[in-house]
Amino acid sequence: MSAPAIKTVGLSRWYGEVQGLAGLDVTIQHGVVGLLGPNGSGKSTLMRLLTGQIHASRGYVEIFGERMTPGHFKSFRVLGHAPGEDIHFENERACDFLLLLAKLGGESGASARDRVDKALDRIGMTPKANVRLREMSKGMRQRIKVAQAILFEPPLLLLDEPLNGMDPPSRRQTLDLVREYSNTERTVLLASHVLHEVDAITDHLIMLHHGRLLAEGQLSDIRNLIEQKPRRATIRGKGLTQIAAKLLSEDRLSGLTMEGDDCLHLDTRDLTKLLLELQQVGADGQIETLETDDQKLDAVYDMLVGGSAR
Amino acid sequence: MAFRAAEYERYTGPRSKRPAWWPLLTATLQRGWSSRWVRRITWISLIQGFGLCVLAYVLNDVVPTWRELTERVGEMAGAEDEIKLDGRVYLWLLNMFVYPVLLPLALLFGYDLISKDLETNATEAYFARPITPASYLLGRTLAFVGFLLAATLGPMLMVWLADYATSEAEHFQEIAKVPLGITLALSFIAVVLALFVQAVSVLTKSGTWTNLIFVVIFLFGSAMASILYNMTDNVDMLSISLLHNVFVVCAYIMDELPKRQDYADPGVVFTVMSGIGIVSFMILMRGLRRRSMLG
Amino acid sequence: MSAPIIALDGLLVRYGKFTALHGVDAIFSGGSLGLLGPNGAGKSTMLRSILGLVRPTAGTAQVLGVDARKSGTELRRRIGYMPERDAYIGGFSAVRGLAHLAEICGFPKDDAMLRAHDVLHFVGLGEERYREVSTFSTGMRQRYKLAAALVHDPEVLFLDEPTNGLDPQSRARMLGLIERITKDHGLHLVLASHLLHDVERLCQEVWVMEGGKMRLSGSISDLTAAARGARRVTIANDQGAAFHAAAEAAGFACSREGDGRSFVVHHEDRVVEPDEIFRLAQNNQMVITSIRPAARSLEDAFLEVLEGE
Repeated sequence: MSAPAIKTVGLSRWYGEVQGLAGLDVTIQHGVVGLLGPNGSGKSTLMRLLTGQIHASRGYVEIFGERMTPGHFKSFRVLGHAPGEDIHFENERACDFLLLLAKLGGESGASARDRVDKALDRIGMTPKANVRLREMSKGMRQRIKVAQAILFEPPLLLLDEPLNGMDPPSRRQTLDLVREYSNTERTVLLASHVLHEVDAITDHLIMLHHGRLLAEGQLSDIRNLIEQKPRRATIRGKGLTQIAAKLLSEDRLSGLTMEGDDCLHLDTRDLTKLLLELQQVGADGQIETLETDDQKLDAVYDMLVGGSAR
Repeated sequence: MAFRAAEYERYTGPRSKRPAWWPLLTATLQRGWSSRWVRRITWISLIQGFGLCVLAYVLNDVVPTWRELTERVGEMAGAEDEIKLDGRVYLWLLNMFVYPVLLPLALLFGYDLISKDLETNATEAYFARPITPASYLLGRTLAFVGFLLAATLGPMLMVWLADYATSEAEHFQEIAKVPLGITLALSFIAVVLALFVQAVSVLTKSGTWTNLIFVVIFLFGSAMASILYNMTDNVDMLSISLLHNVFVVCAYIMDELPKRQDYADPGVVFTVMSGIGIVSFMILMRGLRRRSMLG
Repeated sequence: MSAPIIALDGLLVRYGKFTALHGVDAIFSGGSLGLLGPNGAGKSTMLRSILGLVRPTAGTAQVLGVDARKSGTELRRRIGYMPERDAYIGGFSAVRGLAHLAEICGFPKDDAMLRAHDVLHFVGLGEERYREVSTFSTGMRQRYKLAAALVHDPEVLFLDEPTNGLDPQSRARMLGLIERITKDHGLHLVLASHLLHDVERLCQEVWVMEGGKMRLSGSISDLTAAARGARRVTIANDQGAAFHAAAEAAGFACSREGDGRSFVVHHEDRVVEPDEIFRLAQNNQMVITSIRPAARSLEDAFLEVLEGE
């Protein structure tokens, strides 16, 4: 199984004159990959292409080395998909809905029931198995969508905004499930808008913007590639004016912002050097807190996609 | 020097205590008026009314001898009754105005008054504000009733006024009770119809379905009524037909009910119409109360 | 400003046989309140009681010093509610719809229209004022709903999942708007959200509900301060293991967090001071990238409350 889970080559898709996705080249081996981007950046288009729901206008997708096109049922077997759209089997009970899907997948009788029970258990919905979908809250429906995606334990899992509308306990449970799932050499592509949750679960990212690939790789690598932006350290503590004066005189900083009496934002091109210097000041007991925010996903996202208007 | 940023500001102006259904009524009237077909129907009715005013003037003032003429024509034709501009003519006129207006106005305006709010979830925006389901319903219904009356009662009153102003004094005795009659009849019909359309739309939650169901009830009801009448020979079966009921209501209130046999008993008709109105009202209140629970 | 913003006294609500709220007592005296709880915890029922839309089986809900059930209509003039689902008046332009809603709240016609324009400018929909709401994108719709909740200048604002489904930029923008309204203009806020980060950023107090009962009410800083005295420390790239060893050797208890570069450092008998950590790093030639008090996240605190049955 050396073929990558997902490989796209020059993948493009237009809807009439609307551009959905343009010239995407990515290769994903295994583990959890976060798929990020503003609304309309091409995430859903990519999901649809990966699951063979639409044809590519140009380029192609390979799933475990097999070309994925609409109707290529062999590849459908190796992926599970929780779409971003709502489910519409309103009158079905959760367990019947899943059972139907298990049977459509080729299982029969007891083994189908077995799969359904296992999937329901993993998302913690066993007590709600007999509730009809139309009576379910948004969060519960989302979990049922995840359940149907993992029904056959596929080696590739595509989740489009699975956490949207979930309450905090279900969020944590779903993230745990994703983490556990990817530990077994399987691949999960997770599209989400909630950056700190993606941050908590993976460092491997794909960022899309305006239908094009903006960045792909480890978060820290992506950060290091963004050279133009100075890096920022924020400190709180006592006697910060002296620290500021000292740092300025040594010409270490490219920018400095004072926020009240006890908070200082320091911008620099060489963060390590600045941190070493701050460490010295800190050892004298002047610094209460120190933060370098740009290792965080939201900071990187802000830099790449553009300022969050405040 | 002045500076004004797009910043949130507290409101310091006056707040009035007028009832909450009033802005709803005016907004609904505007919504109706912004629909081209609603405008056309209203204008056409009013213009027809104006045309009849001119006719009344011509008959009464320019050729005042027309009564003798018509009597002579009537004799020649062998008619028993003399033709004159009395209550019966007004009844006939009333139906001329009512039928072309009722159905189209319901289909073009009444059908989505509430169902559109259900579709866009506007009810949730309304009921979190100082408006109760009852006053919401009042605002919407009054607007619909207003349009119905403007397109029916409006031209009728114009004609009556023209007739009254241009004819001789003794003619007034013949038409004195007409305005009250038509106002009562039309108001009753308009309210029942408005409630009915809106109730259907609350049940179907869709404007298109409301229209389909409404047309079916109107046409199918009329067909069923005459079939059942022919089968059972029970004249009250006709009260299934809304069109028939509209006529009987008008005729009865104006005290001009023809003495022919093929009309249902007014008592039955009024019971059926009131029943439709009350059931519709209950459906509406139940649906809206549930909606007022938000979320 | 003597009366509390919300005072619930033994609030019990039953729908038929189902009990949605089991006699809740709580007081919110002003500022920003986060309303937390899993789905079906009774949050919507509480909201209805506060808006005076449901008759309590027993107990009372007082809002702004007024009994919500008795004078619900008057109260709803003073409360702005932003529903979770899209809600707008079909067939009207954005600004016309808002003006209409303000008129319902008793604004004179002209004032309502002026106010609608201002509020739309404030939420950043000035350019789109004359468009129909049905043509708006998700982010615009959320901001429009916020504008609708503000248009009649309420004293208390109820926001139900205001950032639901928003992408990171729109979410930051929405949070910024809410922050400005509450901090700069003194509106009281009740925020129901599943995104605890948002609650942490905007609110000082929380009510945690579960199964129709109030599980906890208190200030967020109290809730998250359980680990006071400990520090959360992050170390530059591959020095995690070395730091761990050095800290243990220096007598600190050190627990490793998720990604292997951050640690919670604490000491059994005393508060851990930052300078100790800095010195520790200096002596071992390590680079510390962040250090701050190891508060629990609201999420941890919240889940703990729910699990502590």
